[in-house]
Amino acid sequence: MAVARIDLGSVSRPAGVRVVARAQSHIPAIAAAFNRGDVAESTLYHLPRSHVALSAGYEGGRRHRTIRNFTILRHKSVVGVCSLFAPAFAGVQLAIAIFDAASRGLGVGRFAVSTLCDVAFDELHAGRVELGTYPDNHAAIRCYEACGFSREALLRSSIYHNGAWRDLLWMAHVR
Amino acid sequence: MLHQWINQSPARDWLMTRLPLSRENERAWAASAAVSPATPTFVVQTRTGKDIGVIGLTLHGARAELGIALHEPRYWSGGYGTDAVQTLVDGAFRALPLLRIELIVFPDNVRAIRCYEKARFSKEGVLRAREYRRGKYQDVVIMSILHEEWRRGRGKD
Repeated sequence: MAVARIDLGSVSRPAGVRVVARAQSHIPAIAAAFNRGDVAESTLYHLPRSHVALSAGYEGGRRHRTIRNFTILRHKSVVGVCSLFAPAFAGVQLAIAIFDAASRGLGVGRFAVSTLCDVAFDELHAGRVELGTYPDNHAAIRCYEACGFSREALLRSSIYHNGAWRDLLWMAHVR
Repeated sequence: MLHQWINQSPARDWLMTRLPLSRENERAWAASAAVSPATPTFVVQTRTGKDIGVIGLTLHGARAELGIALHEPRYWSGGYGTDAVQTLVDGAFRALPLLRIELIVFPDNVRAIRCYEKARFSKEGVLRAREYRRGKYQDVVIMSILHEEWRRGRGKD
């Protein structure tokens, strides 16, 4: 299982942080974090996750090279996940969640996002990396902008979250 | 007919479909579009029954993506596109539990954008280098109409 190629560029790696290809052994920690609601406010994928569903996703990601699932480790503990998936003709979509509150604000997200952009551009030869986020998730938006993403569109009433239809801010990093 | 249309269409410069499509591709698309509940698809006709193009939706839960192509240029700028889009939007919001209908269009397809605006779609943004056309990645405009906007506008036309 290859570790993602890491080209630091101008983004520094926070101490003890690694972004690695997802392994089956990470699944219990990921399921527990989603199901505790650690990222319930910010995630676009808000249903409870069973181990079975997450394992199937992991296997699918391994078999089909079109989905690349990664785990974010800090001092060898699972603190988050990130993925590149569903390559459209011109790009791939990025998703990231950092479960561990103590690992936020340290540049972990910035490091993971820029690592995945390197994978998308250098290995997958994507023309663009895109993602959706809630317009009031300012920390995430700052992180994406620091990694080269720009705001492209406000998709009105696009996603059902926490009992209401919400807008989604669509952002992209174009090579 | 569909096969000839799609590959020789004067509208092909504006289509998001990557051409050419084989007769088999097109037959498979038409067969699935005709029966799949997720892709309601219709032929656009003039009042006298002449077929001039295709329009349809792809449903994703409470979202739907609209696609249209009028393959007969002598019917362009005659209001057929606007009429077809308005009819489909109206029918879709009446019949299906949709919150929004969206579409993407090349920014230089001024006629189409005008048509969507007449049908009360609004521009939401520009997705850069999103579609491949004429040898390079090109930007696309994303537009949408919400159920609420359709409901408010009913009876005004």
